[in-house]
Amino acid sequence: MIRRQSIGVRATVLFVFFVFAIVLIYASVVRFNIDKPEIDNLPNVGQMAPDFTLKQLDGTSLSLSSLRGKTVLLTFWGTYSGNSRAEISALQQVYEKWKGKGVVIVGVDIGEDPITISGFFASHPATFPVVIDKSRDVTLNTYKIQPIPATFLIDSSGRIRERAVEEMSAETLDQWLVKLGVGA
Amino acid sequence: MSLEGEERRRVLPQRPITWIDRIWNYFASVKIAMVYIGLIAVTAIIGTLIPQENTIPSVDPATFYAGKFGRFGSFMFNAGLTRMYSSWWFLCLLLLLAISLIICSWERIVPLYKSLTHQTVKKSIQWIRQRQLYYGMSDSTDEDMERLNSSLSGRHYKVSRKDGALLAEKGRFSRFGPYIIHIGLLLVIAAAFSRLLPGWFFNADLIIDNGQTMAVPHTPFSIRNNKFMMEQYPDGRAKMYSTDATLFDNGKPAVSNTITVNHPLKYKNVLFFQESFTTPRFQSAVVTLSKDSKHSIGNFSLDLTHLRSTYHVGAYTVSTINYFPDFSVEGSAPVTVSPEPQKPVFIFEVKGPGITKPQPQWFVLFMPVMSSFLSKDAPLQFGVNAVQMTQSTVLRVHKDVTVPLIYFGALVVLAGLATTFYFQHRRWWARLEDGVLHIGCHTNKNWFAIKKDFEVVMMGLGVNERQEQGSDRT
Repeated sequence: MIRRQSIGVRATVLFVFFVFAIVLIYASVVRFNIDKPEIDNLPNVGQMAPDFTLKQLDGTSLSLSSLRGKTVLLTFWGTYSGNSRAEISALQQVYEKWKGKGVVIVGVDIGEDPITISGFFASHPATFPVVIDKSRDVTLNTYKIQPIPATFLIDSSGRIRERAVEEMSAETLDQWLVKLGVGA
Repeated sequence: MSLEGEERRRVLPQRPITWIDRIWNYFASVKIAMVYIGLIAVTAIIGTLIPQENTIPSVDPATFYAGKFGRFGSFMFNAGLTRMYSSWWFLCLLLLLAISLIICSWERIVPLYKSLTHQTVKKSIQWIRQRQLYYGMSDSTDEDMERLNSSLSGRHYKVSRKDGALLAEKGRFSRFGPYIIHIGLLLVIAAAFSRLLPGWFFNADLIIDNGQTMAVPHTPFSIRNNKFMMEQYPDGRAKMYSTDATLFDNGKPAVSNTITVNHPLKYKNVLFFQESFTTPRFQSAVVTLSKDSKHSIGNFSLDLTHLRSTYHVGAYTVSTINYFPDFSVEGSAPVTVSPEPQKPVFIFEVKGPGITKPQPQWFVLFMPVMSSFLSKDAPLQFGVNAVQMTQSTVLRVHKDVTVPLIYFGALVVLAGLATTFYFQHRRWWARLEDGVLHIGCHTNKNWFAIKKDFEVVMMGLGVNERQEQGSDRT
C-alpha cells in the first residue's frame, strides 16, 4: 500500500466501522421485520406501566399513578368483545377475594358510550373501577393494544409484572397475585 | 496520478505488517470493491426477478412460495431471497462495500489532496523536458515568461510563479471525480438504511369521518376529510370512491385535492392513498313519539356520538336505559358485537302523563318496524323521522424517502462521472534558464485538447508551428 497509517488509527477505524455495521444490521433486521407478533408491541414485563388519566363512569378522573402502592390488575376490554364479556365475572370474583389485600382492578373500556357500559353492568354486576378511553388514545397509542381483552399485572411500584392478551380466568389471576406475593 | 507518485511515496517509517494491516489492505483494494459491486449488482438483479414478499397476494409468504415454486420456493424463502433488500446478508454486502469505499478513498484522497495543494512550482529542467509536450525557446527573456503567463491566464489557467519558474493548471477538481462517485455510492447505501431513522419511514391507516381533521403521525401535518364520495354498482358493490381532502402543515392549509384509488395526495415525501372506507353507520336520527298513528306527541333528536340519559318530548321524559351500537343476540342476551353504530338498538323508558308503571321499551333504530312490533302494547310508540348516516374514509399514509434518496445518490454518481470523464487536469511548467524558456505541459486525459492549447500558446509566443511538435524532446 501507498502509505501506512499508524496501527492505532487503522485498528480504531476498522473497529468503529464494524461496530457501526453490526448495529446497523441488527437494527435493520429488527425494524424491517414487520410481521412480528402483535404482543411484541405492548409494554413489556419489567417496564414501568405507562401512566394515564381517564374519566370513570361516574365522571370522576382516575390516574394510574394515583394507585401507586397498590397492586393493579389493568384490563382493556369492551362490551362488544365476547371474551371481555366472558371474563367480567372472573375479574369481579378476583376483585372481591383480593381487594382487602391492596389489589385494585381497573377496567379500561375502549371508547364505548357510558350508557352501553352501564347497561352491560346492569346485567353483569361489577364493582371495580371502570374508566372510559373515549378517544382510544391510551389503548391504541400508549399501550398499543390490538386484540382485547388485554390484561397487565402492575406491582405497587408501578412496574409491569405479568401480561396476557386473552380471556383471563380467576385461576390465572390468582396465580399471578400469589406469585407476586401479594398479601403474603 | 503518477506525477504525484514521488511525493506520495514519502512513506512513514516501515513497521511490520500485522493482521490489522491485512484487513485494512483488503478493504483498501479496488479489486475487492469491484467484487462487492458485482455481487450487489447480481443479487439486486435476482431480487427484481424473484417476486418479493411485499408484492405477493398473500399474507403467509412461507406457504405462498412453497405452493408456487415448490422446493425451490421454500429455499428462496428460507434464504431470504424473497425479502432481498432487507435480508441481513444483502445489508452486509452494502456495508462491506461502504467500508471498502471509505477506506479506498481515504487511502487515495488524502495524499492526492496534499500533493495537489503543495505543488512544487520550480521543477528541474530535465523533468520539464520529459512532459508530454515540451518546447525549449532559445533567446528568451523575462518578457517571454510574462507573455506566457498572460496567455495562460487568458485561457483560464491558474498561474503561480516562483523563482523565475511558472506553474499553471486548470481543471484540478476533475482529479476528485472518482471520489465524488464514491460519495454518491455511499449516499445510495445510506439511503437503503434511511428507514431506520425515526420518522423517515412509516405506514399508518387513518380512519377519518366526514368533516373530521386528524393528525398525521410522525409529521407536523394534519388532514381533513372534507367529503367522502362513493359511487356504487346497482348490486351495491363500490364502483368508485374518493376523498376530498385538505392537508394542513403546522395548522396552515397546504394542499387540497381529491384522493382516489391509485391517485394519492403527495406532500413533502408523504403520500396519502385512498385505501378503503368503513361500513356506513348511523350518526343521528330524529325520533318521534306518538300515541298511535294519528296522535303524534313530538320528537327529539338522537345524536349517537353524544347520547343523553334523558330526552324531553312534550310532557314526557324518555330515559336511555341501554344502548347496543351493533346489535346482536348471544344465547338469549342482547349484546353489541362492535362499538360502531351499524345496527343501533336502544332500550328506553318513558315517563309522563298517563303512564303509571314505566316499562323498558325497545327501540330498533336500524329497523324501525321492529320497534312497533316489540312494543305494540306500550302506551307510546317510537318512530323514526329522519336518519343521518355517515361513512369514514380510510387513508393510508406512507412515507419512504429511500427512493428519492437513491435518486439523489445516483445524481451525485453521475456528477462524479461527468467530472471524471469530461474534465481534465491540465498543467504547465515553465522555467527560464540561461536564456532558454523551457515549457512543458501535461494532461491526465484528452491529449488533443492540450495539444491545441499548446499550439495556440506557442503561436502567441511567436514560435512557428512546424518547429514545435515537441521535437526538442529527443
